[in-house]
Amino acid sequence: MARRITETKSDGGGGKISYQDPYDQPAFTVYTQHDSGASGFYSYTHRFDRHSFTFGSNDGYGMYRTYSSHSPEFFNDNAGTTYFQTNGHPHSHNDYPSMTCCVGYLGHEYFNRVGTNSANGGMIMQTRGANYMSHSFTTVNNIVNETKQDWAWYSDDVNSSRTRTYFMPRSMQHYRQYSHNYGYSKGTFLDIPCKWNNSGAGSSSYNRKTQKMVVMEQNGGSYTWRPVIWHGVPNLRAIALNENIHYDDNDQYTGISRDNSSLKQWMDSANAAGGSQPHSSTLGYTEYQNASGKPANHGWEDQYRCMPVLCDNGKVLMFQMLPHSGAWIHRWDENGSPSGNMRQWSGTTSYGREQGERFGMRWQVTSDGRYITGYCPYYYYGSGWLGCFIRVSDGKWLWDQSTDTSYGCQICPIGKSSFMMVRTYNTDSGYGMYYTLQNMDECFAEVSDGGRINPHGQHFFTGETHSSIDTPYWSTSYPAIIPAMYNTHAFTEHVEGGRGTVEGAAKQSEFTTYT
Amino acid sequence: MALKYYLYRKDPSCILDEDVNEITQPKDPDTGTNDDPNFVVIRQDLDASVPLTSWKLNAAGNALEDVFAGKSDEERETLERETYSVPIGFQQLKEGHRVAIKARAKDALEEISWKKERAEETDLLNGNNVAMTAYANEKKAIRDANNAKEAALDAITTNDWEAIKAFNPDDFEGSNNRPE
Repeated sequence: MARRITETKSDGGGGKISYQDPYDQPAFTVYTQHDSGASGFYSYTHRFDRHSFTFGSNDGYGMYRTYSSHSPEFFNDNAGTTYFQTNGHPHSHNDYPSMTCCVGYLGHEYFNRVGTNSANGGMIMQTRGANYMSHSFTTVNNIVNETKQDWAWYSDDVNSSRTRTYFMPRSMQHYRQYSHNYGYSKGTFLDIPCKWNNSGAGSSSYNRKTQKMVVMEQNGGSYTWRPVIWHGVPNLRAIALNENIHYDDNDQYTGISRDNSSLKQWMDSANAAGGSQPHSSTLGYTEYQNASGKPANHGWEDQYRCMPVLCDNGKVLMFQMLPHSGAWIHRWDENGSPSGNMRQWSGTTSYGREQGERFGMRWQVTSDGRYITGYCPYYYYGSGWLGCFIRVSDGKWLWDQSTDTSYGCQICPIGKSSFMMVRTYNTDSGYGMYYTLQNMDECFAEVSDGGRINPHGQHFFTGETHSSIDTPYWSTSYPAIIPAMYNTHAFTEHVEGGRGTVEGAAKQSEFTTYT
Repeated sequence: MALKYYLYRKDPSCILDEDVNEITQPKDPDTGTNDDPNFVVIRQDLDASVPLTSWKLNAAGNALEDVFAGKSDEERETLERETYSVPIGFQQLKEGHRVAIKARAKDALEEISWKKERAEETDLLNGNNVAMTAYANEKKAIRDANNAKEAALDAITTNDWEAIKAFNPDDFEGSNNRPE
């Protein structure tokens, strides 16, 4: 049997926990850019304090400016393209940065994001971002019940007899190297054997708390999906952040085969243990039944992509974008029986990955890993929002929508267990960016399973919004957000009370004194 | 068929939301208390076979009407995009291009401003106005190119999406063209 990877909690050696204010970390950056006016990146903390910024309208030589012979080459070369302009919004077009599908777990497709220690607001990535980095958004698998969200795992290479899966830091650039430069066959990858049919893209879910993962399999592009749950999964974060599958091997002069890595040995032993395992199993796998009741079929997006969520009680939910037909959600119970179609969001003309890697379904997870949202645009490439919110502990789900045909709706985690939704309305006259905050604990407490998210009597995406987040340009501008990289674990470690998370620190009393 | 509530936005026009439960009328962001006049909540029984995007507010502003009645789904999609989406995008891009042209010309004029002092001194030494005339002509050429480029922009047929997308505001005489 392969080695099991365990983790011990460090208390800094002195028996005391060093306090880090989790709300003092960057949460997101607001980006606006007008061809001849001011533009830049304003970054905010989880408390909406200013974190950092890059701002420019000065035409002094060598100073930052949006576009002129005086601006840095990066902006001089790219600021005139609609990929980076915010003086228009998506409606039926496909390149503005405020599209719904532009943001996800990895940040924003076109931009480098802000990290905890960044001194500036962000940076564009030339059209390389749009053309290359967005690939990772369509292949990244989700992670739930993980408080340390500094890693990512990816699956692409669809319609194979194995799901080739990569593990690495949470970075689109890292993935780009493995997926293209290394040619799909090197680096920290694991081939997960298909037990029913064929592989999908970005269609797996890892539950850190239960140490299980679900790998969705599809029947050769014929629109049917089946979950295969693998038990006793090693600590994937450890593998991802050590960036190699030999990280726990002993040093030796003799070369080590990939097949001898602990990860591969675990996979072999799990495969050998066989299927039909009970959910409580710590090894082997369990096949659920096929999904049922899929309301519409279209193409690549719903042939090869879905967002499954493996819940603590064995339920599996699956959200899919259905280009031209909206979206749908499906749930398997803990015995593997399918629910059928639980909801289809109505649709109109819309496009997924079949029209380019910049398009399609995306997902975000709260900082504590307890809630996840899957979503996609409603109209064409990036307008409107259709999506679900799922509680990982028990598989309860809620939904929301915006049938907006003009503006994108962008979403990112904020605080411990909340999401921020941004409507990319015009910020003209200094109205600022329109946003709504919603705490998932509250929503899930007050609304029944399968209901519509209904914060304070209004809907998340079409109800009351506030416009008090300043943007770098005050005339006509449709802002985009760039979700930041921060220490997600700090919210579990340093927020007292509340519901428990997977590996969080022991609950602090209200009177705990930090040193 | 049950009545539903629909939240309709007048500009840009579309049904923003639908619900069996009453939808709250959005408030004006300035006051937070007055109704936002850009939104209206309609309670109506809509034919579910008609796409939401085909429903538009009637002239009276109190009901939704199928503006593409009798058309096939494919025709509806095309008509909706051409009638409502493309004009917005066209206008935004056109205005963006116009601003860009002027910005390039402004930059180009600023870039040669140093020549004025040199021309004044040259003419002073030579006792003529040849250098200043050349400088003025150089500025005029940039302005003329700006005007010609704007005229070319205005010549694009309204809502010709491919043409407005292909239009390059940089490539005119005097513009500080982007590097290739």
